[in-house]
Amino acid sequence: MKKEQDKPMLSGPMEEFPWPEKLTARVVSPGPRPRIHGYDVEGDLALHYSFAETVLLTLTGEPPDPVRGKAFEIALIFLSPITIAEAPTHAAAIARLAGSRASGVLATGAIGLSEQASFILETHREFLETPDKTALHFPERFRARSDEEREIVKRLKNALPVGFQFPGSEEDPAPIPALLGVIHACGIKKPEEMQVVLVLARLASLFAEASTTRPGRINDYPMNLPSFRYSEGGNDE
Amino acid sequence: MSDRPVLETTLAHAEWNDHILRRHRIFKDLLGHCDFWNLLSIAMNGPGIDEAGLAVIHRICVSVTAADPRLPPMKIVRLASCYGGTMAAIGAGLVYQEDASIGTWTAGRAAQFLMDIAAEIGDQEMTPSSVERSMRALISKGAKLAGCGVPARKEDERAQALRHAMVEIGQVGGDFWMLMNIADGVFRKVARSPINISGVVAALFLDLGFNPRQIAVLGMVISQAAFIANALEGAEQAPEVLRKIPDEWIAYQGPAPRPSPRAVPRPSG
Repeated sequence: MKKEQDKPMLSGPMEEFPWPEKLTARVVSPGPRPRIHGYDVEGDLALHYSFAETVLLTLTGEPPDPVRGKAFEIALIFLSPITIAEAPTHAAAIARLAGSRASGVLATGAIGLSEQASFILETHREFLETPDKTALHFPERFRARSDEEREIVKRLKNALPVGFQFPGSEEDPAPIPALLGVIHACGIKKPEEMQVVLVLARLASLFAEASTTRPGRINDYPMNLPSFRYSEGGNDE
Repeated sequence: MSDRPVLETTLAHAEWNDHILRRHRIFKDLLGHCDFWNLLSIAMNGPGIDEAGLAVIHRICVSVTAADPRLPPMKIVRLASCYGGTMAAIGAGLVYQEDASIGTWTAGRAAQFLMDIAAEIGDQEMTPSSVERSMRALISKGAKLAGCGVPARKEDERAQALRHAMVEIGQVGGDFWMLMNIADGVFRKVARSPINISGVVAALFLDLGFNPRQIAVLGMVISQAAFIANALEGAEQAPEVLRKIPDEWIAYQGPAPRPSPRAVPRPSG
């Protein structure tokens, strides 16, 4: 590696503005013994906390109690399946079909998951902004729309630790509002942090599903699902 | 099984031996008759671009090229290319940009802001005072200034160079060009910030007939020389120092070391 003093001196705003000299770390400490929010990863968290609890700690800054930790893990498991019918996995599968490297499949899927998570949170903004007050006003569109959805929420409640309460639980919520309520009750309040949870939960099943697609077998791909019907509309000038 | 879902498109259709793009046959109608920028504009449902318009766009493309690898979008490209990949690096440099305040998408926001000022002025004469009134009215309604300000220096040299280039070729008569010139003075008064490259690019593309959404995406296209060059050199170098900055160059400002509640021995008895 060349040293800076070996180079001829050039002048410009990058050289002459008083930029800071170091990158700032605020969550993960650098060095051979990493800490997250001050907690020793290898000598403490690995011995006493599950991966789900470590994720929760990382996002909230504080170690969860066992009840919250378990509830968060249940939420991650309920969120984890993402079928090939959903856009992120579908896109990742096409990347695989096109012969992409694993990193390209993963990156394509991760972008899709991130956009999906952003969309879910945007469409639940009203619920997320005041989840603790939703018992007073729980919008109709967040309620379960079928017995199938009610069964999912029933299975969620059965899986959660005894006594764990989450906002909207008594309002006949649909599965996604119920899961967002669980995540909120675990201490993750900010939508952008919930976005991380949604992406993290689904990345493995997305990749596993996409990886089963055989590269190059374009004739095996249902090109007309959905079909696009071309018409000569628009404002071509 | 339910009916197969169908989506409507007016964009394109793959035919036997040709491809349709917005009513044009690629090989029969466009090949040999259409330059890249008109092809792009047809694809985007944008305006036709004449020779004078092409001269404007070519000067825009050159003026916006700030490829220094330390600049934020380029640094992202460098960081994503440091393991040897090229396309993901370009993707990383682009994917963050939607609605971001630094990057090529800002030209779209600047275009929307100029359009909002123009709408606020309405039938009034376009003067520094009417532009300032309109700008302040928009700000009071929650709008954010767009198209002004530049870090680490007093003027945006790219904006100045592009404005000078437009004067040289006589492209100074557009409505948004004139609005942008007045807005520059108001920006300096209201925000102590000069017009930046996004503001100038926005005005020029608006005068060519593009809308703000199209301009936001065009910002990506016109910057590709810098993105591609950084991805190529970055992947070629794949430098160790970017893969991990040495620890001594990281300042840790997080919580001090502490034991977790489960690691702390409980008091006996």
